[in-house]
Formats: sequence, structure tokens, C-alpha cells
Amino acid sequence: MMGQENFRRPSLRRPDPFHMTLVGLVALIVAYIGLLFFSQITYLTLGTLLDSLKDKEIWFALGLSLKTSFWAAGIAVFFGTPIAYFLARNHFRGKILVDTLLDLPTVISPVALGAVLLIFFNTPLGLWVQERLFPVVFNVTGIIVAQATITLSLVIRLVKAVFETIDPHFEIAARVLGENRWGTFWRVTLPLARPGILSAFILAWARALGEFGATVTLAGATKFKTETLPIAIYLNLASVRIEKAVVLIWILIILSCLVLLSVRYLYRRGIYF
Amino acid sequence: MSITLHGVRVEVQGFYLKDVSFKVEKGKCLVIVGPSGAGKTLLLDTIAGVYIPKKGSILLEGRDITRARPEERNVGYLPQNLALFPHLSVLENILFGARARKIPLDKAQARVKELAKLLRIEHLLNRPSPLTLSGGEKQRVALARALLVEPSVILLDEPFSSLDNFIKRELTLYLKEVFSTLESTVIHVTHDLQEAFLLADILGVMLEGKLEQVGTREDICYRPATLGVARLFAGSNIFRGQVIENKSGAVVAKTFQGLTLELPSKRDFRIGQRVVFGISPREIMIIRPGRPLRAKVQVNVLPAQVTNVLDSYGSHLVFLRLEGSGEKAEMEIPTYVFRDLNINPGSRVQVCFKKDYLWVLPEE
Repeated sequence: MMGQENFRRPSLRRPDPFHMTLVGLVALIVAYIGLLFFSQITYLTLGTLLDSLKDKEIWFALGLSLKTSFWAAGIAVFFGTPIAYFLARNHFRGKILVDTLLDLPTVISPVALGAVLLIFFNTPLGLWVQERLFPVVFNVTGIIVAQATITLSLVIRLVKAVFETIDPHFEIAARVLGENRWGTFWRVTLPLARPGILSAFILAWARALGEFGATVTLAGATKFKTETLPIAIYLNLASVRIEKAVVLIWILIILSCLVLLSVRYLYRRGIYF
Repeated sequence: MSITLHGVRVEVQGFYLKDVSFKVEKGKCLVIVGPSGAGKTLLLDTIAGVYIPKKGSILLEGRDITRARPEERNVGYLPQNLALFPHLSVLENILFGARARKIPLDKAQARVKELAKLLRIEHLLNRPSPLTLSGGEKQRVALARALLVEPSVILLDEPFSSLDNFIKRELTLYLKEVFSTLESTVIHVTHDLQEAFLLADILGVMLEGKLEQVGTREDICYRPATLGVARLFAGSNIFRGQVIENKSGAVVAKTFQGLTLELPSKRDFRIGQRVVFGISPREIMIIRPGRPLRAKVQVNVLPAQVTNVLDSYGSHLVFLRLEGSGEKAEMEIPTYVFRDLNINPGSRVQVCFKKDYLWVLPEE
């Protein structure tokens, strides 16, 4: 039998300048990124690692980061999912403006967004929110507000793309079988979108975990109060405690790797279409 | 139950349905044929309640459902992708409508058993996902799901388009049997003429959002209402010319190249009026030399030369150049007949354009 393998092998083995150029480029960039992350590995001695296990500041930063980013991603998904569904299924005049406005927080500089938030929470409406509902400025809630504002846009964009891939005829089929719009959304649309929404949540969580600019502007950088992982890295670098900063950086790297791997895993097993 | 559409007009993002009207009686099957993009899916979506017509009405057994929500209509719909829910098991898919329609579980399960037996899917009920089913199995599961809630009308959107030809034929015949057992009222859209002819009690032709004609097979084939409908069946046998003689119930028309044919006509055509006329390739016959001509084939007999012959599995397409006028025509003859005729490119033959099966329309 003339199998496909016999047919393919010669063409792959033939030196091909186009292919070689691409391989070279990929190798170069992979090496660059790899070097980047492993260049500070010399700072990570066993002693530093053991010390950091006992370091209260590191544990505080890790705990606060996990807590705030989890809440921020949760809030973003809670509000973002229905908004994304509406935008995916409805066409209306001015939609492009609404889309652009909702995208804005992810695109503008985080510092600018933080400043905008800071100014907003000093307007009468913002002050009312701070007095009656929850304090924001230089507070832990401020971290969540800053992270949630940025990740909301991200979630809307990601989840909207998920809903757009779901053929409306799934919903039509459910409605014709007697479900109303709520029932259809709960029993059909949401379960179909679940893997996509989950990966949007994880990506939003990762984005919130690494958020610095808006957070530091709105919530400040107070040790043991508003000190998230990125803020702790910044504070330790500023006071030339490189070993500690590197430990913090590696915690972030490992968390990010886990996030990216889990999203890839979800994509692989959760796609229905 | 019967369903009636009166002048339904729909407009969705640049797609239109223009004044669609028809009636399907209880237990009958209307098949609407048309090319892709003709608006067939839009029509079914509208009947299902996805879009609200701008004008016109939809009546289900006399009840006006024009503005009713999809869940209030009681129609069964098999969209082209079948929309089996991938996150539910096969059984959960079939039972889906029971909860919303508040059918008690034991009653619903009894009905699933009945339907599974009828549709021969009993062995599939415990499959955890519909994604592992074959095309034909998916189809029958989707049908069971639709039938569980006992819809008044069943809408089928190109139900066989994703199946290979071998299964398609079997399922088409089988579906006809199921629907006649259940006395279902069916509206079926397709681009496949053979499927349409196999299933239809009434046929419709839809072109560019307009339902051009609704009628029996004979109406559509031999008395097309528009040139668009005629084109579906005429192949290349469409001729343009003018009326040169008016008889009772017939006209004689001549093409500009000189082909003269006698055509049946119920319309009044003026002498000199421009017309389009034609015939299905299956209604041109070869006159065998030495045999007496039957009364029906004594007019429109013409000499012709065979220019090409193609085997189209089960039938042969024979391309002709008519002597005298030089007009081109094509005929389709069953293969078993073709074998006896000994025809090859270059052969000279006598052909008859059967008068009763020619159609004529005023030029648009």
C-alpha cells in the first residue's frame, strides 16, 4: 500500500528555505522568552526559598492577590455574561459605540484608568457610593473595583465571541419545544457556553492577578493593607530586596502558567461545535 | 391540523419573503423546493416564530399565531443542523420538551418508548451524547424530540442534506411512512427535486424570497406559472420566439431560428406576441423507425442529430441539434431504453416534443 506517510516524508525532509526561516524565528523568540524568565534563577537559592516560606509579607500579598482577583473575575463574569449575550444576539443602532465604550478600559493605560477611577470616586456620586455602600479609595475594595473594571471588558469580549459561535437554532429548537427565553438561556445557551465562560473567568482572573497600574493608583501601595503580588514586587524592588522580588515574580509566573495550561485544557475538552 | 399563510411578508437583515401564501391541510405534506438563499429557512423560522411578519398572517387550525412566541405555537422544527443539544444525553434530548410543556414524566417516558420503536432508535436511548450518532441516527433522534410534544405542524429544513445518498433514499421513504402513520402535517424545504417529488402531497417553488407557485407535481412540471419555475425542469430546453397561429386550446410558436412547435395553452395569446416555451428533457421521445405513430406523438416530430451522450446513472442525457432550425435541445431517456436504441454522437434521429408536456409563457 502506498500510505500517506510514504507520500509525505520526502516533502518534509527536503530543505525548504521558507520553513527553515520560520523554525529559526520561532527558536529565537522561544529562547529569548525562556532566558528572560530564567535569568533571575540565580537569586533563588534554597535559603531564600525557605526564608520566603516564613515571610509574612509574601503570604499576605499572595492571599490578598488571590482573594481580590477571584472576586474581581467573579464580578466581571456575573455582569459580563448577560451583557455579552445581549451584544451577541442583538443588532441595534449605535452598537458599535457601545462596543467601543465597553472595550475602552482594557485598551487605555491602566494608570489612566486608575486616575479616572480615583477622580470619579471623589465626585458627589462617587463619594455617595463610598459613604453609603463601601469605601474604595486606598482600600481593599478599591483593588477589586480597579481589577473588576479592567477585566469586565475582557470578559465581555471573550464571552461575546463564545455566544456568537453558538448557532441560534439551538435556542430556536428549545423555544419551539416550549421553553421561554429564560428557560432556553438556562437550559441550553448557558450550558453550551459554560466551557467558554469558565475559560473567560480564568483569563480574567489571571489578568486581575497581574494588574498593577490601576490598582496602585486607586488603592495605593500600603504594606500589609493594599499590597497585592505586583505591588509587593514593586515595593521590594524599590527598596532593593531583589531576592524577595524574584520569589514574588516566580509565584506570579507559576500561577500564570497554571492559568494558561488550564485554559488550554478547557478548550480542548469543552468545545461542542 | 391545517396551517394557512396569508400574504406573509418578512424582512430580516436584507433578506426578504414576499407575500407568501399557501394552505396545508391536516395530514398533508407541502414540500417547498428552491436553491440555496431562496429564503426557505427564513420561511420556516418565521412559521416557528423567530421572526414576526411585517404583513400577513399565519393561522394554525384557524388560530392566529402570527405574533405568538415560538413556545406558544406548538410547531415541531428540525433545523438544518438538527440542533441536538450536545450537553444532554440522547434520552434527555428527546425528553427536553416534556418539562416545558408540563408533560408528566411517566407519560413522557411512555411516549419516548413508542416513538423510539416507531423511529427504530431504541438502541440509542442510553447513549450519553448525541455527538457520537451517525447522520441518520441524529435525524431520527431529532424527530423523536420534536414529536414528543405532539406538534400540530412539523417543519423540516433540508433534513437529508448532510446524509450520503445511500442512507438518504432509505430515510426519505421511511419518513414518508412515519408521517403517514402519525397523520402529521408537514412543511418540508429542500433543494433536491427528487426528494421533493418523493415526499410531497403538494409542491411549492421558492425563488428569491417569493413563493412562485404551489400546486400538484403535474402543475409544477407541465404548467409552470413563471419562467423561474419552468427553468427547474427544462434543462436547456427553453426557447424564445413568437406566436404564429392560434388554435382552440393550442398555439403554434416559432423561434427566431425557425423551430416551430404546437403548444397546449389555456391563455389567450395574440399572433405575433413574444413567448417563452419549453419542455422537460424527459418528455422528448425518440421515434423508432418503422413503428406506427400513436395519436399523441403525431405533431412536433422533428429530425435531429445527436451531438453528445452522457451517462447519468439510471438514465442517459442525449444532446441534440435540431435539423432545419439548428436549435439545441436535450433529452433524458432511461438507460434500459437507451441500450436498445444504438445512439451515438453523430446519429440522426426523429424526435417528438410531446405536445401535452410543452409549456408556454408570455415573455417577461
